[in-house]
Amino acid sequence: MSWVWFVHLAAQGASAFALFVIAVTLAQNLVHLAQLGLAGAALARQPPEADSGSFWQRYSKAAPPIALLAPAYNEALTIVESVRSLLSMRYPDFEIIVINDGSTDETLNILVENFSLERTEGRDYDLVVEHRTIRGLYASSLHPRLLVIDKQNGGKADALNAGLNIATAPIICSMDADSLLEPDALLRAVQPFLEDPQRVIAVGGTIRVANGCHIADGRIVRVGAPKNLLALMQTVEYLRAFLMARLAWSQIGALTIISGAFGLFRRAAVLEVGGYAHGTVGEDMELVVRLHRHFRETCKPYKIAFVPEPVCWTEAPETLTVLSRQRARWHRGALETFERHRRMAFNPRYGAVGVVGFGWIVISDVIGPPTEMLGYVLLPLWWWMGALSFDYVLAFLGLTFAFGVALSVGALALEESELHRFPRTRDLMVLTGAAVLENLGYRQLNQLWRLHGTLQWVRGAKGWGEMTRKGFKSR
Amino acid sequence: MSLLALIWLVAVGLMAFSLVTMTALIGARVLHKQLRARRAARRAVVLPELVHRVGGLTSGPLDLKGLESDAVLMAEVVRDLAGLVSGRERTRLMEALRSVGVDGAMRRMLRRGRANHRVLAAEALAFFPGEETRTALLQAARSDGPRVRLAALQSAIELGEAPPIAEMLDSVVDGAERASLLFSDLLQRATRTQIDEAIRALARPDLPRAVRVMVMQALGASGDGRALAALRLGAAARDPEIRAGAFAALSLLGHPGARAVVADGLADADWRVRLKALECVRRLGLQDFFAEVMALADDEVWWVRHRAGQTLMSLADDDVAKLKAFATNVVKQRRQPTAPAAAQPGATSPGAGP
Repeated sequence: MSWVWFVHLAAQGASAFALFVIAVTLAQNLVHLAQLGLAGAALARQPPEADSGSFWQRYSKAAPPIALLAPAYNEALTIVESVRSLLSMRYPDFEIIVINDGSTDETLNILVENFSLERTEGRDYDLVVEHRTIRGLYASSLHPRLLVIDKQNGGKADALNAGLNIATAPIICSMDADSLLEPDALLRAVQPFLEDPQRVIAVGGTIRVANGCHIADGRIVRVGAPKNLLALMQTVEYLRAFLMARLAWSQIGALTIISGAFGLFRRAAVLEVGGYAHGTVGEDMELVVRLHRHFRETCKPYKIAFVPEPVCWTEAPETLTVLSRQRARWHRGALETFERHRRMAFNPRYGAVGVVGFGWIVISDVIGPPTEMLGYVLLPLWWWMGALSFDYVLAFLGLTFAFGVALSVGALALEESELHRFPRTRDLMVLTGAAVLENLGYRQLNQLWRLHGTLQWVRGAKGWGEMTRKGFKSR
Repeated sequence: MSLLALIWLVAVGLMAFSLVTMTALIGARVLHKQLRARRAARRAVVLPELVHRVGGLTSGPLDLKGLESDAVLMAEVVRDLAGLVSGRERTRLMEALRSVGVDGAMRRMLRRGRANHRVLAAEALAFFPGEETRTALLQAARSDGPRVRLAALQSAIELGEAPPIAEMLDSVVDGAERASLLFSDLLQRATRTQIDEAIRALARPDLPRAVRVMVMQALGASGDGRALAALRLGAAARDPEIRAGAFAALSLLGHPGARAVVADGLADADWRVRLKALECVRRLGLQDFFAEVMALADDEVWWVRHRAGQTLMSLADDDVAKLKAFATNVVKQRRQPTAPAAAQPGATSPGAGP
């Protein structure tokens, strides 16, 4: 009797859970489809311009000053090439502020030696937002655009806050010191500020994977698909995330993240909300959500925009260990932000960002990973117990796979039709293969890492974990 | 049809969509490559011919092998080449291009087609002065696409054919145009030849605050003394943002007549006005305000203290005694944080900066 009862209960539970998994998956896929449509419409409405020469002609006269804030912690391997690359940016008025966040390696000495820096007292600043003590400022008459802040270690957010205090330009650009910017990245990304100076408070730019690209003197000279399989999967993933999801959400005012690797902010707006938050590994997302929240609550008109052109190139992890740490950390950051601002979720007071942006976080970040992973474990188990139909389980998995491929292909289509950044046809074919392959293993691994991030968040983990990079030596 | 069949049908449909899309993209890629090669080949035919014409090495009818009908190619060539030459060389080039009807092709392209091409046409037309060009550009400047509108406006202004200031402002007031920084730049350039119109525009009651500040800035940047009275009036406005804008414009104008209102600006209750008035003092080198500026080095707002310091440094010049007094004051003030309360409120908060 009890066995029959148990089987009956398991069958009921299996059906209910199967329906839940189907509902979550369906919701995710429908949202992805909507994102694809919105992104396609946005690109069709304002196709990106490839010619950077005409960009200068059109926008340089009106372009406001920008301060690039590049926090560096133990970046001795890459810092010189990164700074050289930044110094050769095409923008009429910019300053590079490298913030040495208490590096324990030779980052500061290497900077001092390579750029003839000298300690300076000639820079006054206000302590509007909190950060650890600044030990010294370094400047060079040979490179008047460069300023190096040496401070006690306090993390990326702390370093950015120090940069915020020191900067005087009305626009700041937060970036990773180990990323490569396109020469006209600032001129492209500043466009929304030029077009709508009263409302635009932040602009995100597209980040691309630099692995597989030919790099010389801190510049991407030829774009290519990575040879490493993990980096290849990430290339497709980045295309989908930036060209589809972020572009789409920016169109309806629901963009909740601007990548820490490249983002432009109105300095006054960031200071108004208190700068970058300490105590979170998702300081980039947290800042954007806080900006939304503050401007919504104070009823001030604002806009957070996104530019689809690739503006920044980053080195993607090529080993499972490093990638798993990065993804768990990203996911933890998203959950920390969600926790801090949970009252915005589904709250119409916060408009699209509350309903759509936070709704999406709930579906994709909060319930998505555990549901999908439980599905992978429980569905075969229940099928084995005879509680679910094999035909339906197989059909459902087939549909999920087909959706995944179609969405990645959609993102590739957007890239190919509007941006054309992969010059070789072979690369396009390789990426198509990756779009299929990523659904067979990579996607599941990713969910596992995100689940790990969820557990870290539950346990209250705080660290960043080690992020090993090879560096952008010319290759 | 059963649910199971439907699920499989959707899955197969999606896979078919993916396959067709990628095949089409790869096909389009091949086509695109061919088109690019053809464009490069056409450019290689046109450019040497035009370069020879620029250098006066050829004369007689221009022979572009029929490629003058490729409007996009010609627009790119005009934009790239005409910007590099001037004087007689440019005249020779433009006359030759006109003789084969390139200007007409540009005007046609400006009227219809993709936005990127229309912008390109507007930029190319900046090198073809004349009544027809003027009409075409001003018509496009009233069209619906913002990028085309601004490009056409810019070319018209470069040709010295700016539309009336009142009309430009109307487009912002009625919402057709955004009060963007690009518009502000064009307004400044248009104002140089229409000072009186811009002054009259300041009397319009319907101008939004941001646009009024833009007009004042344009007047300041013109460097024309006629703007002085209007800007002095702005410096006494009730709205502190207008007052700050007026002082910013007065410092751009650089006219000594601003002295009469500077004292009020330095004593203004709003920190933004004090800040801009300090810039005015620095720009005009108003030595007799040294004491007032010295007092502002002790202001409650960091930005004002900071600017006061810079102003004192420029005013004191080689007056060691004054600099010493200032240095003592600054050392006392240096890195003293702005009061937390002052750092918090609004985008216009002192901590947030100007």
